[in-house]
Amino acid sequence: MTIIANILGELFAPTTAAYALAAIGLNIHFGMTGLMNMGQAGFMLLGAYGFAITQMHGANLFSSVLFALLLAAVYALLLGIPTLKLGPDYLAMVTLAAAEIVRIVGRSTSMTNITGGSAGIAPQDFTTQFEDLSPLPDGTSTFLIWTYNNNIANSWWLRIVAWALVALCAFLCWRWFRSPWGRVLKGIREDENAVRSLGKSVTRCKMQALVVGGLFGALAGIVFVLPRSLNPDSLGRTVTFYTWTILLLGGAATIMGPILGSCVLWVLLTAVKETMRVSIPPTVISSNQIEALGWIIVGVALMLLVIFRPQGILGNKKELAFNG
Amino acid sequence: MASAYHINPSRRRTCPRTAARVAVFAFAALILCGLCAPAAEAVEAEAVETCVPTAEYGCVNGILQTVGQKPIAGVNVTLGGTEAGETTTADDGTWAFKVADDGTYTVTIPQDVANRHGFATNSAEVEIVKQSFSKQRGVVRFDKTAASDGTSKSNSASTDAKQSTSANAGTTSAASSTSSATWTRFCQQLYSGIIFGLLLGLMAVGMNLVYGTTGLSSFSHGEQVTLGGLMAYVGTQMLHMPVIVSAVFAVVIGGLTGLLQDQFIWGPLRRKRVGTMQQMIVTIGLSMALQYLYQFFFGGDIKGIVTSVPEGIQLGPITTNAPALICAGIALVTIIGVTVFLYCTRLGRATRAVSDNAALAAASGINVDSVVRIVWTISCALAALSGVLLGIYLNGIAWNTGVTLLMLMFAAVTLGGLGTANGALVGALVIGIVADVSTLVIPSDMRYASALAILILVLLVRPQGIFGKRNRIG
Amino acid sequence: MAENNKPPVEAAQRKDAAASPAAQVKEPFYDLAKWGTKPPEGEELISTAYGDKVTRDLAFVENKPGVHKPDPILVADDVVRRFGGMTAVDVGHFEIERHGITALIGPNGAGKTTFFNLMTGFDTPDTGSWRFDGRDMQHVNPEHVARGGMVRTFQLTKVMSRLSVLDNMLLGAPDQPGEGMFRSLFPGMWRKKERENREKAEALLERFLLIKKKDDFAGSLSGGQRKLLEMARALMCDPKLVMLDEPMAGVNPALKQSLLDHIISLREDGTTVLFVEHDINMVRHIADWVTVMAEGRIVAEGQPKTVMDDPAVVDAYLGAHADVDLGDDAVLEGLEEHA
Repeated sequence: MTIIANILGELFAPTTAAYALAAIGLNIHFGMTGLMNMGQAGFMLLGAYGFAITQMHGANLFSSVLFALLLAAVYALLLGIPTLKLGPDYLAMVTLAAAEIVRIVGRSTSMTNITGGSAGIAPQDFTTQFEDLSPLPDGTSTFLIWTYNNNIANSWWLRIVAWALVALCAFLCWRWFRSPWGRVLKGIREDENAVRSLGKSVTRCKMQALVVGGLFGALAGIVFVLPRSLNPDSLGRTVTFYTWTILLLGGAATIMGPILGSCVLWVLLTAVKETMRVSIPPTVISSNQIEALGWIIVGVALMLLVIFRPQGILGNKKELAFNG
Repeated sequence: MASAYHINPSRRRTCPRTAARVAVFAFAALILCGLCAPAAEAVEAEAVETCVPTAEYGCVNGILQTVGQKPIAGVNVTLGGTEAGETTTADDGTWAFKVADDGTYTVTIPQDVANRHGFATNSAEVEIVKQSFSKQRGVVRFDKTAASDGTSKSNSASTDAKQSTSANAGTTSAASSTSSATWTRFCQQLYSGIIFGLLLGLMAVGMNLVYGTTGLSSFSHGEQVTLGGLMAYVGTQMLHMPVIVSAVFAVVIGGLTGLLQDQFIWGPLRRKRVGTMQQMIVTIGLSMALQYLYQFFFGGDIKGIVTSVPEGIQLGPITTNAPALICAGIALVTIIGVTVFLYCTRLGRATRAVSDNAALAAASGINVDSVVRIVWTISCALAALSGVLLGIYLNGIAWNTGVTLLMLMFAAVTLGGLGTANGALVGALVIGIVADVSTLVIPSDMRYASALAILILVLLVRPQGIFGKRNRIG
Repeated sequence: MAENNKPPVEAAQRKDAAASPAAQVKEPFYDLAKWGTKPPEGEELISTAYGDKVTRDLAFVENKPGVHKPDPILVADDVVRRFGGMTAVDVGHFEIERHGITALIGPNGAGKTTFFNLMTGFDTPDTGSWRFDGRDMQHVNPEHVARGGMVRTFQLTKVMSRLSVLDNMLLGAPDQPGEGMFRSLFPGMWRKKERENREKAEALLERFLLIKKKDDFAGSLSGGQRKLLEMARALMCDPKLVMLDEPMAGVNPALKQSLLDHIISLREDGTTVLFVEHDINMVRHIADWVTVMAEGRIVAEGQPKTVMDDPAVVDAYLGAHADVDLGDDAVLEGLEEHA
């Protein structure tokens, strides 16, 4: 019973929400504009750092979030200026490289005073204000089969806020998808020179898309670290690849795709891992190996998905976001 | 994972007889995973201010601090186990022991201190193996409650160990020559940068060949490098073959995987006319799957291909050893060989023709598909070779070595100009030298960041890379 | 096509107004595409308000390369572009007559497309300056060139394959406030403009025989239809100068006819047209002025009929195509009769 509760709990876990947010951001980059952002984790990590560090120094919650967003926006501008005029490969490599730079610098021992080095920042240093803001009473609550703390760490309060953010971002995304701005972005995805020849500011629109997607990424980073500690290595390249899997699973260039993808991926992955943990004795396969097996499944799933159903669960085969 | 790929060669200097004995022991220790703790009488461990692991000494050290990362000074730290010792923490909370023997050590702080600061435990065990890449330094921190948990302890200890070895690359040589330190360090770093650049160049050349002929940026190239190293490990340590035979074995396996990959994945995808972006994401999936497949079978620790410790050679201001020079030599010769192949053989010219314009090449009677298959095979074989060399040069290879270097390969290829034949080597040398020389100014665990920053800067000035050409629009 | 047999009323009015070109500009567009190649009985094919004026003006212009014209819309001076050691474009002086149809012809590799790229900001010349409608266009990026009223199409057609035909058209519309990131969130701010654009786009699609396809993905169109779509899209912003890069390439003969009609009708809307074409026969039937490029230079200019006799053209252009029969008018017979 607890296993089933655990597995189904992933449906609305804060981490699932965080990945959904990151994938919505990536959807604006890739699904709408065709930008190959291979460093969404960089935006997330920067957002998380911006939030946690200002919280540690006693800034109020609102300004911390604002600072995190500002940091992500500046980062997006810095990445965009040299690469947006170049081909998609360049953006992919530069975002990938920049995300690594953020992580390497963040985990460096010489930055211990600011970022906490490779150990990162402990949750009690940055989650108190967020938890204090909760209108819910202290203690734990049970809803159907799930029991979580109301306010602390992996809480109901965090779930409510995280999914409210997902809903807000999905709404914005929906509005943009159907607007003339979204049409210009889709045009850029198809052929930016054609759009340029029609008098649209391609570079400005790409930059806007990069920034907006990055802001969603920064929000995702904050949601991602709130139920745990901020550890730079937990927001590495692999998180970016997870986000890509989620986006392609759900369907790029769709509104609900990233959310659905995130839910499906985490529920399935947890189900597989939990079942293996219960059914296979640890002497045959250790818990580390089960963890590795989970990754192998994600990797293979990503490959099969891209080869056999590149439009994902919700996508339209004709409106595939890939350039053929 | 920022890990150390440059170990100061001076650390490897040791008396050959001891080396052999230690090596045999280290091997046994690896196999038995620390189950055998030598029954030695308690010797005095030396309490020092800072400890740098060498061939003779391992280190047990750490920082005592509160969960809020405030240092706790003046606390007694007791070392037990193979050797015993006692010290007090310094003002910044640091403490260190220099230990001479391999084995399991227990570090204890007074129970009341642990209680006062809310630590989960007041003692921790570490295992020291001087010749092991990941176990020559054991770091103990009580503020991380997870320290008592077996799995995460080994994780955090190995992370810290890597970090510290990379950090000592500069510090030991600085200590050895205090007067003309900067110049010596510069030469040393330049030298290790060049060797690293050559190895990186070998990886990047293969990646660039694939990009040139198919337009695909292969993210799984790093895993091909790892595969080479791991296969060499299988050859020497499991099948007990000589190093050279193992290397050949690894290269053959590497080439074979390239061939099979093209046969069963990339070939069909090309025929299905799947776009390169899509194929690139397939390589990402492949990279993830392979990486964790390696971890699944080989575990998370570092595998040494050669367990003997080579003798150091002094060349002017540079300290090095024979394997490092041989590795660099092989890399250079292979890269030159590839260039000669590209420019002087029929097949090489066909390859360049396909890079230039696949449709035109096909029209003029070149079998593009078989050229691409050969390129994949060569590329993966080169990656495997570089994995072997890297494993020998760095004293070991882990499941994630390749993926750590992937970024640097991309940087090298992009820097040289995507798809250009010789650009990759130049780009790789630039990256290698920048990464190592930059440690003179910035903390050494940020060295890869500087290499990647160079990539972004070059793109700002010369978007097409050093050797690339610009295309016409419309 | 159903209206083929109903002589439109405007035709008569247009003929009357032909004497005063200025009055013509605002008049509703007279649809030549629907009319097809055979006009209803009793009608002449073309009302030649601008055509006549341009012919009149250009009649006195000397037929030599780099000549000055009475009313130029685009003036280029000393534009040089080198790729490595090769000089792709080296144009000393070049003018395009306003309201005229200027054809740019020349053999493969003559630098025509590169010249297009330079003029529209897609490429930067090594030296040179050029003015469009009195505005200096050096260092102006492509989007501003387009917004200034100089719109181009591409030799290899660029349609947004995974957008609908209508969305393709709407992308061509200028000044849509909803294309701002923040304003796009409030549909109230752009709905009205969107409706107007949609009407305009549908009218253009009708004219270009694409209205039935408006909800299909543009990727499903045939090559010729894509050429039409690209041209129609370029017209969405009422450009002053349209630069068509090989509009006829890969289009079947029947559609070619209709494309030629479209180009002629553009002139009657007051739009200046510059187009690149390989087929010298096509050119001479619709162009008011022909410019010949070879090896990056302008080697000849003049009225279509005289240019064909220019030894420089025969040398530079036809030298490479000695087997081409200049007199083969089979394709254009229909048009010939009415012109």
